[in-house]
Amino acid sequence: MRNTPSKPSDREIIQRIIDGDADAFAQILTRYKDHVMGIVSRHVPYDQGEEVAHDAFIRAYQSLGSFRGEDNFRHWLSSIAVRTCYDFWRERYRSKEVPMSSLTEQHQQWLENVISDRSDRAFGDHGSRKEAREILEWALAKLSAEERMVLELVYLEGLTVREAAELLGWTTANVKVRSLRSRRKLEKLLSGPIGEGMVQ
Amino acid sequence: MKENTTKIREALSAAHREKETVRTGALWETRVMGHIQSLGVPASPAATFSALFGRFVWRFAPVACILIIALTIGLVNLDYAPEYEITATFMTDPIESTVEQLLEG
Repeated sequence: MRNTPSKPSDREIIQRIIDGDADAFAQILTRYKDHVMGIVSRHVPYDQGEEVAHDAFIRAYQSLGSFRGEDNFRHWLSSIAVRTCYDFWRERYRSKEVPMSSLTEQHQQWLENVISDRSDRAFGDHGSRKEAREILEWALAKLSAEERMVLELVYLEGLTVREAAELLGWTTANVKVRSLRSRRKLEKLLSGPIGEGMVQ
Repeated sequence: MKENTTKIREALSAAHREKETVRTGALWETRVMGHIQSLGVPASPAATFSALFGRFVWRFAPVACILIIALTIGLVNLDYAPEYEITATFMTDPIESTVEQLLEG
C-alpha cells in the first residue's frame, strides 16, 4: 500500500518561507485565494478585486514574520484582506475617486416595494438585485472609509462588534461608535428617497 | 418605521452578500508569485527594527524604573540642596571676607 504524502500545515509552509523558500508561498496562495477573493469582492468594486487581493497577499507575505504560530492563519489573513480593503477606500476617498451617483425613480420604486411588501417572502423575490446594489453603492459613497467598512461588516454582514474590531485592528469602542453613526447616516440617507417617493 | 428599516436592512444585506466573487486565473497567480519572488525573504520577527526596539525597551524598562526610584531615594536621603552648595563654595572662596562683608553690609 502506498502512503500518500499529507498536506503540509500552514505553519510548516510559513516556516519554509521564513527559512528562505519564497516559492512555498504558492501553496498559501492556492489554498487561500478563494477565501481572500470572497472577502475582497464584498468590499471593493468588481474591477478592483484582483488588484486589492494581490496587495493583500503581498502584505501577508511581508508580514509573515509577525505571524504567531498559535494564531489561526485563516483569521490572520482575513484581517489583512479586510485592512487592505479599508486602505483601498481610504486612498479612494482621499483622491476623491468615489463616484457619486444619484438615485433614479427606479431606485425609489425599489425602496417602496421593499417597504410595502407585507408578505414574509424572502427578499430575493424582489427581483431587481441590481437596483439594491446601486442603492447600496450610492449610500456607501456618501460615508467615510471607516464608516463604510464598519457598516459593511457589522450592519450588512452581521459580524459582532468584537469580530469587526479584530478584523480591522480597532478598539471595540471605536467600532461601536462608528457602527452607530454609520447606521444613523444610512437610515437618514435612505429616508430621503423613501419620503420623496411616498409623496409622489 | 423600525419595521421599514429592518426590511431595507435585510434587502441591502442580501444584495451585499450576493456580490459577484472575482474569479482569478493562473495568470493572476503567476503575477502575484512574480511579485513575491522580487521581494526576497520576508523579515523574521527578530530582524525587524521595531521588534528589536520593542524587545529592548521592555527588557530595560524595569531596570530603568528601579534606577529612577533608587536615585530619588538617594537624593532625598542625601538632603542635597544646590543653593546651599553654591553658597558654601563662595564661603570657602579666597574672597570669603568680601562676600561676608557684602552680606553684612
